[in-house]
Amino acid sequence: MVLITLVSSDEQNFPVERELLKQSGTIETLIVNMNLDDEDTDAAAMPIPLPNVKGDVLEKVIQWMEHHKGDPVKEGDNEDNNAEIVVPQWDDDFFKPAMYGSKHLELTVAASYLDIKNLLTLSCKAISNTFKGKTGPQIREEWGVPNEFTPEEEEAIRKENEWSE
Amino acid sequence: MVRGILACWRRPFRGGRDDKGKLGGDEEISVEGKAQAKNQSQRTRGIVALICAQGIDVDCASEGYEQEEREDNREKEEKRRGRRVRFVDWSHPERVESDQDGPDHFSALPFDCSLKIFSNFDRETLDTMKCVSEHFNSIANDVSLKRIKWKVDGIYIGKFTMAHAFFMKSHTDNALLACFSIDLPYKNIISKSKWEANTLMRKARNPPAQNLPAPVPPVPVPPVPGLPAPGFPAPGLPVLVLPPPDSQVHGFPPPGLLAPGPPAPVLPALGPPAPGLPAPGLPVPGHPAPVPLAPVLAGQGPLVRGSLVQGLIWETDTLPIPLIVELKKAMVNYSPTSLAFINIQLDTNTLSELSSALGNITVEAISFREIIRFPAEQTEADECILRLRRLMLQLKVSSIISYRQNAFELLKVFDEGFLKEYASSQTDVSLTVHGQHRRSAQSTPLRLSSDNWSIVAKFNRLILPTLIVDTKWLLEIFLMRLNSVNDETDYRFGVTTFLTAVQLGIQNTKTVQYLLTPRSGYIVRTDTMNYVFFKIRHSESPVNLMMEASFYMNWTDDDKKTTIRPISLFYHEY
Repeated sequence: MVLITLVSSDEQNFPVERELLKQSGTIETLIVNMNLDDEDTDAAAMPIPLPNVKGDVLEKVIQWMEHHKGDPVKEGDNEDNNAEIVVPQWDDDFFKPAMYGSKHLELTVAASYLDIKNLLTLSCKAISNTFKGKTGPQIREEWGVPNEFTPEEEEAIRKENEWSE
Repeated sequence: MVRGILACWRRPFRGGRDDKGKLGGDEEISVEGKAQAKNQSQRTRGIVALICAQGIDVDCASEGYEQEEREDNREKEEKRRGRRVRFVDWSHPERVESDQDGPDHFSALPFDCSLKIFSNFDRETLDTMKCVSEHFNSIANDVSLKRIKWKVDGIYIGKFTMAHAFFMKSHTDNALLACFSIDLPYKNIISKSKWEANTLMRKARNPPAQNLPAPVPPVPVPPVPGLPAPGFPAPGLPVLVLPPPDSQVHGFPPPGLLAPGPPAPVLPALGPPAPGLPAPGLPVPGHPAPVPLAPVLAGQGPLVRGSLVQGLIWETDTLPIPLIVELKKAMVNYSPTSLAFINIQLDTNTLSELSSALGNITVEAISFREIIRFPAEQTEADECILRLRRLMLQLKVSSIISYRQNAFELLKVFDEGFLKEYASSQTDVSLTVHGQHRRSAQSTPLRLSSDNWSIVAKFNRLILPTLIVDTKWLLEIFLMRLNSVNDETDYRFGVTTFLTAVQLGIQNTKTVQYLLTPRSGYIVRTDTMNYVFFKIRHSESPVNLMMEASFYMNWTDDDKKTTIRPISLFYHEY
């Protein structure tokens, strides 16, 4: 079993199975190009720095990849089917502790950065689910989004989208 | 080797978009910068600059930086990039330096991630997001989310949908049928309609607890000679009022037969009324109140007549037996008051099957389109005509709509003998046959050219409770589902999908008042909150009217000035 070490932005090392990393398009490309999975070369021992991913986030990403080991890797984006995506229970529980916080968004950013399509899709879906049925003020409060509109602008936009309220 | 790895690590961050909208762009992280940033981050507090909203880049503020220098750099960066830069403590990303209170995590999110999140929304949520913040507003208005805006519960509101919905409303308060084209979204739709559609869907999702309202029967008003029949559902629409059926007219109506329809109840005047037409805005005596249309309760069993399920549409080149079975099932379950058949080859066998399938079901309206191709053999053609007549009588239709290409054949069907028979079997109904004709430059809306034809047979009162339908895509999907049903659930799903579309269309037509004024063709307008009106070029066929509609908004009554803002309903981006 080939282990490849990922190094997070805070210098934490995470040895990860080669098989798991196939879910990450970014790392997979790097591994293939650099022959990092070739045990006969020195390259195999080299860690892969991930300066955009913090240790705790990378740990969560690896945890997610371990659970979804063997899942088919999504090819391309299919935006039309976004509405039909259902977040599985395990993933829902996985995202829930970080819900409404920066950690969830960091996880999404990491998924995007590492090009883990399934994680990105589910994470975005889980985030978007938190918005549904909420009003603007509720969303601002829950996600800490500042209200940048003047009262006049807000009223104009509210009137424009009155039908949705 | 490290340099080799880093050299390979030149993949631009996916969240980045350059000023041209290209992903990645010049946001690529340089090797040296990254290594330097990494080293510096170890020595310093690890401040990482996140360029929000447009993407993420990695930079590092060295320990010796003064606050002023950071501010200056930030301002320069903002000016250079023309976008917001926020500095986030990477080790504590919840601490966002912002002039606002509290963290704004979403501003730190790459734009494509934000888009990905927003792409999961429906229209309602997407519009709600516009009110949250400028950042959210900009994302929600991104062009890539356009398709979502015109998709409601999996069904795109298509151009035909609204066209027919408007047509329906312009002709009757008891609009029967709407059509939805599921693959033809159009980008511009009036807010009112959006609001209505949304309200409708919300009602459908949360149906009221009370019972479905019973249909309000139209108030019979005795006809007054020389005046249009009360209850004619097209306010202001000129109609051809013909003599009794024994003196039916083909082709041109005789002079003097053009009579105005009743004016709209409350509409203010759009302009000077056409000569001979009453001023709009007057109440309509005897005008029946719109029937409150109850929402379809999805999956809650058969619906009563008079509810939203007022129309069924069938389209097929032939009428296969399995479809007949499904048709009958649907008719029994949903008791439509309108039927439409599109592209049906009306040979004798089909008619026979149709009669058998429909049994003694009564519908108020039936619509054919591009259907009637009688056999070349005269005997067979006569038999077919007879069968079609019997079918019409069997269904007790009050309105029949067909098209120009069928005009000649249909005239064989709806001859004087048939009309007499029809009149004797029907009371208090009328038969209306519309023909479709080519686009004409004639300015008088109802002046028919020689190759056009129209029959309006007026009996006790005029009712036009039907709609011409062209819902090819929806029907195909619907029929495909019906044909491939495996169990009751699938069947109900297919029917429910279809009925939701019908429901949407009907509700869209429910609350808007229209006025049809013959001024350089038809002008249909509303006095809704957005002062919307539709300018429609001349055409006889109401379908063509709507197909040719131009769309304007920002029209106000006060200054009688139109801010010309043509938003094509029917020519849109896909």
